Amino acid sequence: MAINPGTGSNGVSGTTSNGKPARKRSVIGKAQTKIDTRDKVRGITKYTDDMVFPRMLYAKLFRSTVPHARIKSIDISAAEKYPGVKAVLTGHALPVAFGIMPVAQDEHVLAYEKVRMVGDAIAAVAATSEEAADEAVQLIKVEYELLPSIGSIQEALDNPDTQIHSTSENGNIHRSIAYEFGDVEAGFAEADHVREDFFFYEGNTHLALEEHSSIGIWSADQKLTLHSSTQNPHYLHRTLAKVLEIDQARVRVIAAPCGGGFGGKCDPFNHEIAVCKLSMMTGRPVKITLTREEVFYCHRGRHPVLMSMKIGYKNDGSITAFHNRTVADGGAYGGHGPASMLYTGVLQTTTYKMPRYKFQGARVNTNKAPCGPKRGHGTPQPRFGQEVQLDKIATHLGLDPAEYRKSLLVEPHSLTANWLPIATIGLKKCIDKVVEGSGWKQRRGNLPHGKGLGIACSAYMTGAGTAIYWNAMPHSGVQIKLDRSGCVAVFCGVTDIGQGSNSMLAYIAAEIFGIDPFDIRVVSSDTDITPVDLGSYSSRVTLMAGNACVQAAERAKAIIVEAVAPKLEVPAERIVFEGRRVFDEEDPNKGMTFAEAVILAETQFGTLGTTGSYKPPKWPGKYRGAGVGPAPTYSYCASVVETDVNPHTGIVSVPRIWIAHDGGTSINPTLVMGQVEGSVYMGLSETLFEEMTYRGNRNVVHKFPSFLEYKSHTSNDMPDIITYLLEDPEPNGPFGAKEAGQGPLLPIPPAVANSIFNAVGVRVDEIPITPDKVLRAIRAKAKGQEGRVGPMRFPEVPYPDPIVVATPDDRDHVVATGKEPVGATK
Amino acid sequence: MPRAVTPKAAKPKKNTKRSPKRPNEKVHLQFTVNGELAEVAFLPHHTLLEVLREDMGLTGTKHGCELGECGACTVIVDGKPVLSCLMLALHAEGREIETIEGMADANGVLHPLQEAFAELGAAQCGYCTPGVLLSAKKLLDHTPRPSLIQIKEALAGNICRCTGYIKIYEAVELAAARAAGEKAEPRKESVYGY
Amino acid sequence: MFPAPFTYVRPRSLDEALHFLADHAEDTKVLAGGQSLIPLLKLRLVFPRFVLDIGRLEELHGIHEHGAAIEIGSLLRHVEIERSELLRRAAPLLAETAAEIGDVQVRNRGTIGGSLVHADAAGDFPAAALALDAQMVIRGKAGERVVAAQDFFVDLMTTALQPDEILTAVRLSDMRARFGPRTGTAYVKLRQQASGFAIAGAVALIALDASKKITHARVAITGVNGIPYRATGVEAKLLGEVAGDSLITSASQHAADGIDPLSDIHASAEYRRGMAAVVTRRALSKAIQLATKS
Repeated sequence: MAINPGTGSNGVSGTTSNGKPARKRSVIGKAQTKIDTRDKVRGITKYTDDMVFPRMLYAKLFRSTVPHARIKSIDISAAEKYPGVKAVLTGHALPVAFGIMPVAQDEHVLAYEKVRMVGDAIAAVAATSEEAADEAVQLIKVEYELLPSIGSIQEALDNPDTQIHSTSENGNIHRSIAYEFGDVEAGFAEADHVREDFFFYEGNTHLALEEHSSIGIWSADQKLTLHSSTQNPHYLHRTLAKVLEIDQARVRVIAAPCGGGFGGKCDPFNHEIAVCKLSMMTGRPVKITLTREEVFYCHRGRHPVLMSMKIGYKNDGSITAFHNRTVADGGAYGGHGPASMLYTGVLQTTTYKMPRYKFQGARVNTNKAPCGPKRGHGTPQPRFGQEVQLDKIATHLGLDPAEYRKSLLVEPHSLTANWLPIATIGLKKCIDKVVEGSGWKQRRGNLPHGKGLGIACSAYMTGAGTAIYWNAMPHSGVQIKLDRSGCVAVFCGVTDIGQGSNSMLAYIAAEIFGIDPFDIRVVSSDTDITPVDLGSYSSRVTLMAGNACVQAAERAKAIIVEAVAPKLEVPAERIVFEGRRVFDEEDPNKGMTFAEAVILAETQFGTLGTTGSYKPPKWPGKYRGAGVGPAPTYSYCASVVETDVNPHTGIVSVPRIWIAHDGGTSINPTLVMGQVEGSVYMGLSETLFEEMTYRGNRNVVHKFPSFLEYKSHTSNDMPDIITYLLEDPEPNGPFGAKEAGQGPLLPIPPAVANSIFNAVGVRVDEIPITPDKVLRAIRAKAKGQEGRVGPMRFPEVPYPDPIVVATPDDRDHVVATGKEPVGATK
Repeated sequence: MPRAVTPKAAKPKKNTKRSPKRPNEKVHLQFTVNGELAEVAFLPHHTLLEVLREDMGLTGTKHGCELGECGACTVIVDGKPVLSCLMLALHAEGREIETIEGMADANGVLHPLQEAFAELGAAQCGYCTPGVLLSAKKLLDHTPRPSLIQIKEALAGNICRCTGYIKIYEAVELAAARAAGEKAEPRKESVYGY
Repeated sequence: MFPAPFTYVRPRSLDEALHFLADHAEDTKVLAGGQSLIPLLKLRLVFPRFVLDIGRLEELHGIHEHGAAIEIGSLLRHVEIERSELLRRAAPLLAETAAEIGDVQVRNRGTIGGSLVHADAAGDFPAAALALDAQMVIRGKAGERVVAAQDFFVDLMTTALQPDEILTAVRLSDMRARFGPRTGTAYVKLRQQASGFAIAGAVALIALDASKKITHARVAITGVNGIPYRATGVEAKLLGEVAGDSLITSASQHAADGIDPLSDIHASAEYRRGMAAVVTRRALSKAIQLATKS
């Protein structure tokens, strides 16, 4: 179903408000240095662990060494007496449960009834030195009554009576959902072929180089400040107030420069709350910096997901129906889990035409570190399955996998079967770019055995359409302050986690004011000072904060024009801001400096300040849960991966990757390139190496949670990356921008798998694709068996009855004909 | 690099088996850090990383993994990049130490590598950046015009999770060209794509 | 992450170090380059009362050549071994092995002695020492003793070195003086990504006579077993035969004979067994090529 494109009210349109052609941009779209990067290359930037306050105490947590147990007793007496110890905290003092999602409030700062994983925090110590705190923690004694532990999806399903959380929906099924959009069985009946494939995607983690660090400071004036390495100060702010039972107005969260996030610093963490409480107990600043081992316990990384994908298709490859079943291993706590689970299904419709779609998803709890949002949040797993399955269909029908995908693409400005609003889509161009760049047509099919080319595509949200908690307020706000100094200060709650969001705001304001980005002071991520922005997640920042910034800057510009135009005796629509000057477009000599213009405005109107805000459009779906999945727009991506597969070792090396990204207009293409390359890297590393591994007592204990065991790509392992940026403007984005930080990860795992199939004719339907698995598949094939490694079955999952929803096309049919379509459902 | 294999004799029950209490007496030592003689008192079992950060306030050197795998703590000791998390500070007595804080020149002008990293976005979150820059600097000191393979090999001990390394390679190449006196600019493809 | 506190001792001479060890052997860990010991201390897998830093003992540093005999000080760093002209000529295998270790930072600090004494199951130098028939020069208070590499590696991370002893040097012979002018060596490993340790690594030393008949065959494997081992089954198949591709392939199949390979998150036992054969074949092929050329 077609829908209207955006309004183009945010700097994107080709004309100015007075109908004249837009002037050439001086900042947007140009390769730029970030406004804060020179401090980073000098090692001057202060991350949380680099900060020191007078009389600061250091905290350490006592963590469970068993995966699942009731706590019988906690003895902190020896720790309290240890020299230098100023406070010891246990969970009884903080009984309020929390969790980032209102529907999953199942975490406590410190466990006092039950532990659910190795690494669960039970007590916290604050002492005058980190070592004293560490020594004291080791004097704490906890008596456990051991419970059976759950180590895998299958164990969670098989043992509902060993319930990890009494609040779970059903046994150890934390949450589950089922939707049916259109009559899927009718769709399968229409199909010429129906196939079902099983896939598994192992969990992996963010491995940000900075270990989480937080400093809580309770002031004598009864106000709390937390400095923390967090992506989401706003949600953390709310959680602190709730758990510490103090007024939100007295809590201030400052997100320090963040040494890597990737989703791993989105949740409010127990250590962040513990240092605040310890500071309230001692009246002194309290810092905690987690060890790398503890960061592995925080985790919140990629969910292991088992998938079953059943698809009906015609002889020409067109899809008649798709049935996607997923079950995710959530680990010990909820966190973002309910959303993660939904993302294993809801975005499957955003790329290819899929008239009927059924999705059943479940998330189980296990006694392992909790999973959550990692770059791509819940979508790389089903994207892997979907793209590999399409490759199998192309093979079956003898179609070129690139051409085949092009024949399936969703239409721009349309609604999907599950009512997601597609805006612009540049995927066809993306496919053409990587096909041409990689020499796909000439090379594929003519490569020697062991060498392959594979393709895959993806889509990703540019910002979630819904806040994590229900509210109708803006998702992002910007304030701009200008004064007689000529200084422009931009205030926004966004958190720069290295992606360059502070610089993005400066570029947008600089473009609108005609000044240099370095003329602008960006103040961000401080809940006392900056307007609310929901946080650095779901690829929302450039679009949402960027649009808020456009609005605030345009409002400020209008005020300046109102002062300047009469002074210059020039009509307002002829006033131009450029080159740090404000002048008459027709007589550029007639003008003044930008600072003089601000003085004029301040003289006339008094203190200058404007605000801007952004709220995503209301989603079109009307069914329960329709708020998860819609976005103001989606980014698109296509990638071709070249592999060399050694048939003797199973080792896959990747010499080259081509990737084309439809991220709308690049605010700063250099930074977009960095996001694309970084996503490709992270996707490739998790495809080939990375996995969370557990061992020992029913797979529940980490073996040395460290960089020693958790492998990731080094510089030696990186292929050449040939990146194409489409630069087609998106009317809903600021100056036409869409997201770039997550989408480009998504096509990599399936493109690698498809490339391996092209190279040696075997399928590894499982991530990571290790040499061991490749070799097993090659050997099986050599023996005449199926050349495949991957799950052989999908477990019985007690999904709820599906919520049955008519598709937009079904509705259109009813409106047009007054008749129910064949097989229509309501 | 070390490898976490547990010797059969020593199972990692680190919370149970404790060494006997010992006096924690600080040692007083002199180091030359970034060309300046510094006097510092610290505990003998502390690594150079901790002493630089906590006792000398040089927080540009970072903790990343604590076990010598990530390279965030790289500093230069007697002209060679080493892992300060695997070096006792006492081990560095009398040696010349260079940290990221000493990389710009005496007037605060950035090293060509620092400038190129800034220009190309080779520092995203910036946490690995000090270590990467020092490894790269030592590479260029010995190999003024390194090949891509040499760059990759020289930086293989520095994990970066943000950039995918591509911008880092390009920045090293750009800085090398500039250091050789060329008027080099970033390639169009590296900042705008192909 | 801190080691448990310890007393740091820095002796001025080897004798002083040995005296100290004689009194405190059980309470002391010897620190050379620290690349293996410091992680063990931080993980608190060891918590010695004393750390004896021998890193500055000049007498353990340097390479000496006496005719065909070469003595390598145990404190020689990987980077120095990699770049030593003498070793590149007389024992190129060691230089090649050093270049395969870890990364630049580790090679700048790590020492050959530390690597041998640490005896990691996947270490690089132990296999080279086995293949080259290196002799470990060990000093204790009682004097010096020499242990052949074959007898030095006892078990996983366990060597013949006693707690009151220090490995002072590694002795070996000029490769060609010992095995003949047509000798070639090679080290091939499948690296565990990230750490660079061997999932399976093979060191091969092959000497040929004028008719390409194999007069010496030494194959040592690392990463597959708890300790590095000589693949005697492979060696037996090669000895006295004329070097050729099919011989290499069939002999390599015995690379893990009698071995129960390690299984961990990096690779299964079955995979390691298969890879032992693959790296052995590659190392042999390379060594024979070099032997033929020389």
